[in-house]
Amino acid sequence: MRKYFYLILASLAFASCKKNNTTDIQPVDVNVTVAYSLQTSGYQLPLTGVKVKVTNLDTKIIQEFTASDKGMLKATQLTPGLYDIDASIIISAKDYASITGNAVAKDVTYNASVKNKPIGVGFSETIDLKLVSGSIGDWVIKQISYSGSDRVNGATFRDQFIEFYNNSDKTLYADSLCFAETVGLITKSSSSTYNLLATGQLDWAKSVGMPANIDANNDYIYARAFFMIPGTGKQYPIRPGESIVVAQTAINHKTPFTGADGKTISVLNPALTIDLSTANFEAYYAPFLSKPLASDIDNPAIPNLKVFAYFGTDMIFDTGGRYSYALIKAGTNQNPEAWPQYNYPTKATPSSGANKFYQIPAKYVLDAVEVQPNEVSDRIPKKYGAGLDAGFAFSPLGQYTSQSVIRKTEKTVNGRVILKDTNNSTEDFENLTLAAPRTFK
Amino acid sequence: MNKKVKTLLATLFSPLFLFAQSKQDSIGLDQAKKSLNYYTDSVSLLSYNFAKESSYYLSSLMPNKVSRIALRYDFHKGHYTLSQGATKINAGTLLTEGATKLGAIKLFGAFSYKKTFEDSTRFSHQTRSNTSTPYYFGSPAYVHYERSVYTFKAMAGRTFFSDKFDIAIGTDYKVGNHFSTNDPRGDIGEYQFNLIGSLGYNLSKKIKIGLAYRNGYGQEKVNIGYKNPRYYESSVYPMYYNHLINGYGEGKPVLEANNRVYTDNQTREGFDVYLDINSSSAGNFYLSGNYITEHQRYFHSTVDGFTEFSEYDLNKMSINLLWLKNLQSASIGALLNYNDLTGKDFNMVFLANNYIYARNNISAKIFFNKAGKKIAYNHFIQVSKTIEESIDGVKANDISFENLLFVGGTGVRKNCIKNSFFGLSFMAQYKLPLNDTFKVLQANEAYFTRYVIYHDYLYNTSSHLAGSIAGEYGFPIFNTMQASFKINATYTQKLEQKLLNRNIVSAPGKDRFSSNISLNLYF
Repeated sequence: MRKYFYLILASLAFASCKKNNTTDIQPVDVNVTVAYSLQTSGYQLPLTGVKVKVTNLDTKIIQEFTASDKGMLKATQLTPGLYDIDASIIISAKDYASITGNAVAKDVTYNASVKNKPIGVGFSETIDLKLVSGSIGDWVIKQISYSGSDRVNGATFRDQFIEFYNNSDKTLYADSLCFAETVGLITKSSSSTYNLLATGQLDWAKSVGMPANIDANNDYIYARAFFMIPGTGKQYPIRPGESIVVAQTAINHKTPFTGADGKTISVLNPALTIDLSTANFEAYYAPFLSKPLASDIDNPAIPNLKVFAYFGTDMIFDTGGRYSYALIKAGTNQNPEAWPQYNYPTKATPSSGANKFYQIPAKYVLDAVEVQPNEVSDRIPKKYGAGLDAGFAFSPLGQYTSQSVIRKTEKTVNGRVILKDTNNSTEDFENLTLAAPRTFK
Repeated sequence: MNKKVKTLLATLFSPLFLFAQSKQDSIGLDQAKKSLNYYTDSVSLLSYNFAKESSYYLSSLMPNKVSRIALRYDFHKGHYTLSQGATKINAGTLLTEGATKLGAIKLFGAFSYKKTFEDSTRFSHQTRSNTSTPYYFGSPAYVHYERSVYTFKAMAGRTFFSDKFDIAIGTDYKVGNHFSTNDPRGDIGEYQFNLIGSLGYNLSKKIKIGLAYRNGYGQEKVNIGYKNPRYYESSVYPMYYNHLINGYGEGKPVLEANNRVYTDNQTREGFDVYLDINSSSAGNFYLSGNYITEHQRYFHSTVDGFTEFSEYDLNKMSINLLWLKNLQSASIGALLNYNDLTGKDFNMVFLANNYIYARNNISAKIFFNKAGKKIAYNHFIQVSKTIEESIDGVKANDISFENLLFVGGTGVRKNCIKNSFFGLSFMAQYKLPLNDTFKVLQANEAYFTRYVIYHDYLYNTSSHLAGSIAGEYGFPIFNTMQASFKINATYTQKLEQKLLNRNIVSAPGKDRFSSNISLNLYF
């Protein structure tokens, strides 16, 4: 009996064995090159030390690579899928001055990015990233509360606001600052209606009446809502480290109030919304609407914005995060209200009554924040190039969740908070669970 | 009446018909004792279970008359289990089965209903009958699952030309519903229907050959719902949002309700070959080979048409050799099994094969049964070797393991007065891991890798020791039936576990306890 058992044991060891199994497809190695997009080539900025971040949008797994001195690297063994590829380097003010001969007050950040890049099996393309330095200025967009709060228990979109911040060490004046909610292609499904660029965004050069001698896509942005802060020039001083808050409706949204139609507007759960009664400015649309929104009441204590262009019945930001925001200061002798407006670049000729959008020169943009939907599958091609915003911000919880996007604190100097501004919102912004004007993160 | 309902009715009534016939025949206590002995004698139970696998064996291995009704409760608890298993299971089963002969026709029928409550199961909105699937939903958060599964089985066969030739058919049908009661809420409906037709031919008194053809189809429909909208409105809650696994690696969030649904249609076909050799000196040998191919199609249909998600082909092969020999006052049996299962997907995203699952198992089991008037002994030993491999091409994951399992058991049954009896049995098991492969890109490490791949690798490459004890008390009932209460308890203790230099967030526990209690009626 025993010998039979040993015989069986021995036969088992040989009878069953592992096969050599191989699948048809394997992970992908991707070549990336980084280079500076310099208008002048009289000097060479360093490529060693350029960090390249490769983010798999399905798994959220981030891998970091460093470019060689020739600006090349290989991102190995990537699982096919959608990726964000971001490159950045910070050159110290001292190094920058010694290389270029131009003295600068702050460290200079160069960014480049490719968003939502599909990398499939057998991907052999080389991804070229052109590093650009954006406008890093004194004014920054600090917080955007576009998501709104709960549709049933909160204030829906009524409690939206945007906050601008003096990130410099000197007093600035808010007078005549403009800001815009900028447009682009917002639904991928409607892309066949429009003339598009290779990036998938609108090709504004093909708008009816667009001059041929301008770079309509790179030198301008387009606004569906365009506002200006009033003032005489030095009426609204903002000290270093202080903000201005612009509310859709500058009231305390936690407590009931009487709407323009005489009915009480209240929220079921005040903890989901905020008090905007101390905002610096508000938008008030009633004067130019035949049927104003009931919640758009005028707080007489808060100055109203000048409205050059509007969309809808109040300064209602897109709760899904499909539009973006820019802070603008027009040059001297410029009248922003008179800037030209163009139709969407539709394939069909637009009707005479079709919406037109302000064309805003990018050179007057002080700061811009690209906003995108929270889910990868809903994201749309970027509207801003790396010169305006190399990345984007979003509220992870999505719409009507009370969240806001808020710029990170970089450091505090003598009690003054300096906010992070690398011209890449992916890096510069994070979130507040409950939007809160004039707070820091 | 659609095909599904017809099938259900046909299979539903077949076992009941058998029991009705049994009543007509007024089976007495003697018959009940025969049935009981059939189930408690390990060698005859081995041949009975072997016969249930194919209608071909109706004439040779299925007893002419045997019937049982059982009511059983199972309880399992412990974290020494696979990641996608359940840390606690409560299950109740009602089972009836029987065989009888009506003239020249031999019949077998079985029906079972099982209700299972699984606590703390993760990453597995699955039926548990298609575990190698490449395409399924899951989440890291634990959910509570409830499952109701009905199975029906019927076989009929008869011999012709002085038993020279026999023809038999068999069918089995399964219908089940599975749902989880907390977010994410899986709701899975399934049915399976299989047919077999077999032919046997006696070449001589000692040698019989046969063939069988198998055909079947089935479906699993999966839908994931939520009570808390936060879990599907964004992907900021990875523990709860719906992950789509498509291969053996990290999944991706699938949030929208329209996308949290798919259907898996299955079709299968195969054939069996048989060779029986009866020798008065060496005993009886039953050799069978079986090859089945199964195609699974994962898709979703809407008014706009079909959206194809994945295709999966399974090739199953098994070779079985049963040897039965009656000695002077004992019987001996042996069963050799070889099972091989290979699954390959066709990934609709990459339009190529990305996932391979391969498992093969070879097992040898020897039984010895010595039955006396007052006391009967059952002994067995078993050794089996299992190799399993899962590969995901684009994620560069390749994990395999190989282990040996040794099992031995002994039991005694003492017959008492008035047809009552006591039984006691013991079983011991030892798992010895042999080789393994672990290729997992750390750069791809996220939820599935941490909660499933690492956990299962540690479980499958660990050694364990298990022991079980079972007691049974039997007695006659209503003068026509034999009843028994049976209780069984098993304790499994992990012995050694590998060290894995990764971010371990979920690892197998140290032990697991399993038990069951059943009331059985034989007639």
